[in-house]
Amino acid sequence: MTAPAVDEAAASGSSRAGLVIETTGLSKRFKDRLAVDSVDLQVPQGCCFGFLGPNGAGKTTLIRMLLGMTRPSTGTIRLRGHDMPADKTAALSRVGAIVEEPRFVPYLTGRENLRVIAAAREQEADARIGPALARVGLAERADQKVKTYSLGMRQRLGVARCLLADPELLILDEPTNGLDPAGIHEFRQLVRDLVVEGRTVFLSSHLLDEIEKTCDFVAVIDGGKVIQQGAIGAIGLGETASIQIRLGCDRPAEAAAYISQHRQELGVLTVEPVVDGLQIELAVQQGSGQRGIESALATLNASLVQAGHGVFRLELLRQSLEERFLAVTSRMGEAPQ
Amino acid sequence: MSVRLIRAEALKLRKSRGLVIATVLMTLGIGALVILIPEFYRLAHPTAAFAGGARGLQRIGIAVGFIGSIAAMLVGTAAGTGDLSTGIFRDMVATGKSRAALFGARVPGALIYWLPLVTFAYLVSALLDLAFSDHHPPAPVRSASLPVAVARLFNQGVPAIHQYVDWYLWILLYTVFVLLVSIGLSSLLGSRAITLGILIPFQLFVAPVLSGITQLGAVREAFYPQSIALIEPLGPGGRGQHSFGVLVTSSLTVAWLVLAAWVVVALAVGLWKTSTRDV
Repeated sequence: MTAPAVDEAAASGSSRAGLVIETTGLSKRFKDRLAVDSVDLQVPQGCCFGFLGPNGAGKTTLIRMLLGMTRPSTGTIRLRGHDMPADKTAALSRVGAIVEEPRFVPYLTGRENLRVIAAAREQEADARIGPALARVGLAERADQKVKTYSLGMRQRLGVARCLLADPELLILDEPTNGLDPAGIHEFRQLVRDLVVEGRTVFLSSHLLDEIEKTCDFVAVIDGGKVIQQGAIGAIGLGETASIQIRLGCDRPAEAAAYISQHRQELGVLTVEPVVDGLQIELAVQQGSGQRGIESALATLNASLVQAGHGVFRLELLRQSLEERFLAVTSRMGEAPQ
Repeated sequence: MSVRLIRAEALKLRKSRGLVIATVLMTLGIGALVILIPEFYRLAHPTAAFAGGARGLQRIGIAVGFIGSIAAMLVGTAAGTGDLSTGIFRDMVATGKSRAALFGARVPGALIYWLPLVTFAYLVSALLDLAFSDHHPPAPVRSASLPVAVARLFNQGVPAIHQYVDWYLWILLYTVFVLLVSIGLSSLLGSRAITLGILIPFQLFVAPVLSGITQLGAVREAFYPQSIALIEPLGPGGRGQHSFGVLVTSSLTVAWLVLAAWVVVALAVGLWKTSTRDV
C-alpha cells in the first residue's frame, strides 16, 4: 500500500507555512524491525488532527520522533516551521505533549510537579501554573501529592503541564486511556475548546470513536505506514470510491428511470427504490475529498431539477469511520474496539 | 545554567522522604552515635577515655566520611536517575530544553541538597566532640592511677581548630567526590540499583582487596579509595591507615589527579548518555 498525498480538503486553506507538523519520508528502524516506514504527514494549523491506528502500528514511535525523544533513522521533520531535531528548542517551545500515560514525581504535589516542568521552560511558564491548574479543575487538589491522584486527575494534570507552554500544538498520545465515560466526555470538550482557541491538537488513538467524535482530520497508520490521511469525512474512499445517498423526490419511479438513463454522466453506480425515495450509489474521485462529494451531489440535483423532478431531500449516508477504517486497514481484527 | 532548573532538582531530592531520612541517619545520626555511645559507656565507667577529643574527632571523620559517602551515593544516584525512574525525563526532553542543561542541573541541584546536610551533620558531631572532650590539662601519667593513665593515653584532649577544619574538608572532599561520580555513573547506567550495586561493593570490598594484589602494580593507584585515604588528615605517617586496605598511592599529586579523572570521566559519560538516550 502506498501512502497517499494529503487530501485536498486537508490542504485547503493551509499553505505550506500553515502546516504545524510536516514529515517527509520519516522512518524509524529498531534493529531488524521497521517501526515507522516512510511517513509523509501534513498536519494543518488550528485543527484537531487524529492519528489513528491499531496498537503497535507505530503511533508512539512517530510521536517520540516528533518530540526529539528518539532520532529518526531517515527522513525529515518540521515542527512549527522549525527543523527537528536541529532546531528543537524553538520548535518545542510552544508544544505541549503527553506521551503514553502522563508521568509525574509521585511524592511531589501537583503544583510542585508543574514547577519542575516549568523550570525547563521560559520564565513565563511559572505564572501559568495557577491558571493551568484552574483550567483543568485541579486548583483545589493542587497541593496534594500526585500519588493520591486518580488516573483521570493525572490525565488532567498532564494537560495542565502541556498548557505551561501556552502551546500552539498539543500532542496527546492515547489521552483517554483508562478514563471513565464522564472523564472521556470532559476530555473531548477540553480538546475542542483548545482547538476553538486556535491551538492545534494532534490526537493519537486506537479508538475510532474517539477520533471521529473529536477530530477534523485524520491520518490512518498501519504497520508503520500512513495509509490514508485527510478530512475525517473523506477517509476510506477508494480509487473510484463511492458514496451512498438517499434521494427524496415527488416521482421516485420516473426519477429512477431518468437516473438510469443518465447513469454515465451523473456518475451513478446503482440506484434502487426504498420506502422513502431512492438509494443511490455515486462514484467520487479519490482525492477530491469533501469538495468531490459536494460536487457529485450538486450535479445530480441540478440534473434532476432541470429534468422537472421536484427534489426535496438529498441525504449523504455516511459510513462510520469504523467501517472506513475496516476497509483501509489490513489488521483491524487486532485493534481494540 | 538555569537557576530554576537547579532549584527544581534540589526540590525533587528534598521532598523525597525516604532519601532524607536515610541520609540524615547516615550523616548526622552516625556522627552523633560515634560520640554518644562511648560517652554512655563512660557514664557507666568513669575511668574510661573521654568520648570526644582528638580520637573522637577522628572517629567522627572516618565514620561520617565513610558512611556519609554511601549516603552521598544515594543522593547522587537519586539525582542521576530520578527523572528516568519517575518517567518525567521524556517530559523534560519534550520541552525542548537541551539535554546537557538537564544533566548539568543535576550536579548543583544535588550539591544544594548535600552540602548543608553534611555540614550540619559535621557541625553537630564536632560540637558533641568538643562537649565530651577532656577540658582539663592531663596530669602526669605517673601521678594517676593505672586506669586513668590508660584512659588519658587514648584521649588527646581538645582538638585544635585546624583539626576540626581538616576533617571537615576531608569529609566534604570524600562525599562530594562520591556524589559527583554517582551522578555521572547512574546517568550512564540509568538504574539506581545497578549503580549502587557497583559502587558500594567497589568501595567496600573490591578496591581494598585489589589494592593488596601486588601483581596489579601501579594500576591500583587508579582506585579512588586509595586517593581518598592518602588525603585523609591524620598527619604525616598516619595517612591511609583506616578502612582502605593496603595503601599503594604514594604521591598526593597522583591522588588528586586520580580523583579529578574519576569525576571528569564519570560526568562525561553521564552527559553523553543523557544527551543520546532514547526515551
